Amino acid sequence: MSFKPWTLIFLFPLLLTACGGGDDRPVINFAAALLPAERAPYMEVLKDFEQETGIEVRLVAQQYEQIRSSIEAEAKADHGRLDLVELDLYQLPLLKDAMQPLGGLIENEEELEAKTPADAWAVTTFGDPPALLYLPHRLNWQALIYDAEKIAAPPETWNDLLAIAQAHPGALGYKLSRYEGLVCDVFPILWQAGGDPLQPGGPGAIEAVEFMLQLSKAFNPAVRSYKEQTILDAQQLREIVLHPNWPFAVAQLRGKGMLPGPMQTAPLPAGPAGRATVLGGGYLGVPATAPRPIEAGQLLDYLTSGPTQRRLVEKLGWFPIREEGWEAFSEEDRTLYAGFLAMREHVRARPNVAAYAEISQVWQEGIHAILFDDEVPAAALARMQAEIDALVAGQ
Amino acid sequence: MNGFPTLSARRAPRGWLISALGLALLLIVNTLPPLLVVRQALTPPDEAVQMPLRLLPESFSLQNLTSLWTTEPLLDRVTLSLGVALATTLLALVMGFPAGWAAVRLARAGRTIASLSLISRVLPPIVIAIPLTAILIPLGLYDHPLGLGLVLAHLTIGLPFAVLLAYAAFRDLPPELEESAIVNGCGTFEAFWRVALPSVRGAVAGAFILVFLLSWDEFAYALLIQLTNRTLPPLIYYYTNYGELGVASTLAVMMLVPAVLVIAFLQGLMTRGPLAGGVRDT
Amino acid sequence: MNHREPTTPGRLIDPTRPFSTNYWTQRRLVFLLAAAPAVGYLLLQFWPLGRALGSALTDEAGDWTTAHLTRVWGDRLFVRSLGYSLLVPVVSVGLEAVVGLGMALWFYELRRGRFFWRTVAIVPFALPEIVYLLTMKLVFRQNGYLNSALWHGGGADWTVGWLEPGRPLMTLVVILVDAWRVTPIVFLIVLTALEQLPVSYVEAARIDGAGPWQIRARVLVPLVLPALLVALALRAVDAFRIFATPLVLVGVEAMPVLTSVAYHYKASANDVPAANIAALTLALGLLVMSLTAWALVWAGRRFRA
Repeated sequence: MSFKPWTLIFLFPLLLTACGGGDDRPVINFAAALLPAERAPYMEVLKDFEQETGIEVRLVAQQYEQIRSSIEAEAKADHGRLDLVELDLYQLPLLKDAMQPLGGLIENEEELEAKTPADAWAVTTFGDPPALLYLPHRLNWQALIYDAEKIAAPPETWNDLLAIAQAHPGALGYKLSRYEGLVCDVFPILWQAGGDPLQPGGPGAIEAVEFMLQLSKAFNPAVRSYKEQTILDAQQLREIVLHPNWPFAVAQLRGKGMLPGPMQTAPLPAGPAGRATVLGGGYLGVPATAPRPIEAGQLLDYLTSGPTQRRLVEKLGWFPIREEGWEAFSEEDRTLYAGFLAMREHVRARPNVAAYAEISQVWQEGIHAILFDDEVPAAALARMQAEIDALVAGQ
Repeated sequence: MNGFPTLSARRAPRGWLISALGLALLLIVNTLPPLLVVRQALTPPDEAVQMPLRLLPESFSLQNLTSLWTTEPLLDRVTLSLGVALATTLLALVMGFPAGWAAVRLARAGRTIASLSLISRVLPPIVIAIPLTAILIPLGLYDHPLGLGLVLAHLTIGLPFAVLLAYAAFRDLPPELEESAIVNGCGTFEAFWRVALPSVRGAVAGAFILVFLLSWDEFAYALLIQLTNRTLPPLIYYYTNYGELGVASTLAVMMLVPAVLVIAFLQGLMTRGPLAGGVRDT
Repeated sequence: MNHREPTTPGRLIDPTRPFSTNYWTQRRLVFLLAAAPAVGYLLLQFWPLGRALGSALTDEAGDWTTAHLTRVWGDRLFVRSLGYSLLVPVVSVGLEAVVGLGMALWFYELRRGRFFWRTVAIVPFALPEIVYLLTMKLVFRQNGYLNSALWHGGGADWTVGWLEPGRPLMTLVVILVDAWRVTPIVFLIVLTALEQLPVSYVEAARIDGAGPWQIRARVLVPLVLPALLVALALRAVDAFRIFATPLVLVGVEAMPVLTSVAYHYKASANDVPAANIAALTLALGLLVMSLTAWALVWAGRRFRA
């Protein structure tokens, strides 16, 4: 076969790849867990950084689990391309060995420590001597999303919630899939009963579990499969009348014109020991294998600075890491996130212990056994207590 | 051809009507959904959520495309998909066709190798992808920006096809062709390159289309091996999962274009162009 | 294969006979060429499988353990996936057999526009899998086109939860979508077999007074049965490996199958030993199914004889 000009068409993609890297600017890769709708406004915020510093930021939007996979893979290969990553709060202890200390890379460490809530700051430092490995990027917590057309007034107490459960059988939703989201729904109930996640055999725990068993009679059959997105879908389809969820739910519902509207937010109902909700959030870290840690540090300073945090609060409705950031929270957002704002004083962090991931697993399996496999609560909780004691002792 | 069979002496008009209805149903069921994807891609996002949906949207808009273009480095994704597909195809052909030719020469051993290819075809991607990732990570091939790890993974799918196709094609080749070449002074390799290979041009083109499309459409390996720079199929899944169906549909339409082009292009070459006559008549 | 004497001695390789010892160098080269793919398979498929086995049976310290096995086999998600993984091939292949055979018999008599209709029939298979699944998701989702059509017909009450988790309808729809994608293959194989039959068989039966249905049942179907059985055997093995369809349409939790559960363990929990166990269970099942399929093919050949 002689050479035919049309074969050049197959070289086209190779040419494209070659042309791609023409810039001389330093480029950093930043992996963050942004929803598709959040990316455009976030990239505008990044553009200002690029103009100020001349560093190009390549944003990679993925889920937290995928970012974690990438970091673990890069750590094993001892070579990576990600310069800055965002992780979920519960992943911070798991990946601490793959991150590098931020001390020399950032400038506003003391300022941030002073202005960030203590619970949120406590998870950023690891090791002996303590090294700062993460900076908070955004905070969030859960509140109740409820269907205002079906429920006249949101539940203020556990009794109200029980009344709603009885009035709407099959329409209660909780994220009870076997994953971290389950403990995010269960721990607030535990705290509302005065319990402690490290003491499943303690007083508040049995109360909380009994309460959940009563609620479970009104659970939607699909609760075993619910996660953040699927439970929100169910709420939009009016299959459930209320459920706890994170702030992203408000943004999505607003995009569909349902909030404000048929859907509203409310604080989680108060139990015998008061109100409580669970702290979550996105934290930024620099992997040990980052090719450009210094530039990553500059981006870190930028993203956690006061002005940028205000812009993120304005544009994306994120909850700020600094107290002063709340001033930038627009009036519109205050109405939208009313339920969340009402819980600001009642946010509690999950146990900050080394064996947390395993402890979370114990709770996930235990709750499933009690709610779905009909295990006797007292026996299940005693078993869980033994397992957690062993984990805490062994770390 | 055999001629048309007639199962009954007369054509019952009632049977004809049922047949026509059935064909119409087949047409709708098979061609309407892909057209709905195009419709979804062109629907503005706020209209896409209002039930009940209509067959045609009230207004056409390219909003999905623009929002996709601004938030996703599309050129990188498409280039990766194309590059991986082409690299896989070239490697599979380069390795597979000489192997198929050699397998024919080796009689019994050759049949074993052809059977091995069949067995490889049975193993599902997801089973292999998980331990394969563990192997690729230390080599730095996991989540590679140019998709090199993915090319290796796709080879496990494409190579068996190339080998089997080559084996079948070369086996049908009359030995006289190469023999006369050798009589006229060619070495073995020249006989392969100048005589045997051009005689199976049709199979080469067929294998090219097949392996290219297998790699272009491949989902399971791509989902597990590429995280940062992704090919189009996992990207469509990502957007579908987040409920961004308009954007997913736009990507789907983009996926179809090269597939159709490749098929049409090489089909044309096979029947009319330089590759015509490469297909042996059965 | 033709067997002849080589016509000229010397540098000649006889293409029709296995090598004789006079041509060692060329033989080695040819052997290497043929073995190259085998090495490829070994490195990229069988070695990873071996490592998967190792990862499933050893703990982090490297000692043998059955802890992973007990953990996975006690997980309800995994147990459910076993049920679904077995259900899908059974129902799917049954559907494909009936529909594929029916369509082939129907197309057999088509006189005009054969090429066009054949192209229409294979569209679901010709589309990339993810695109096909996206189209089906657009059609069957709660706020999708099918429910919209029903809504236009009779109002919102007519809509159905086609993909609602926890209902048998969901399982049926998912299996239908998967089966429909592959029915064109069965259809093409059977149709090709039908077209290779000499028309004289049909003519002879018709002249003997058989009606159209009798011809189909007594002449056509038995003659294409071997080809159909081969196609179905291959399809059963493929159906057992189903991955993308339930994942894209309803998600892992709603309809778990071994493949998507393996993916879920790896992607969501990074539990590699569990993922490997799910994957190996699938491989074992495939081995069993392949042997059964091979046995069916062998039986089909005997049946024809």
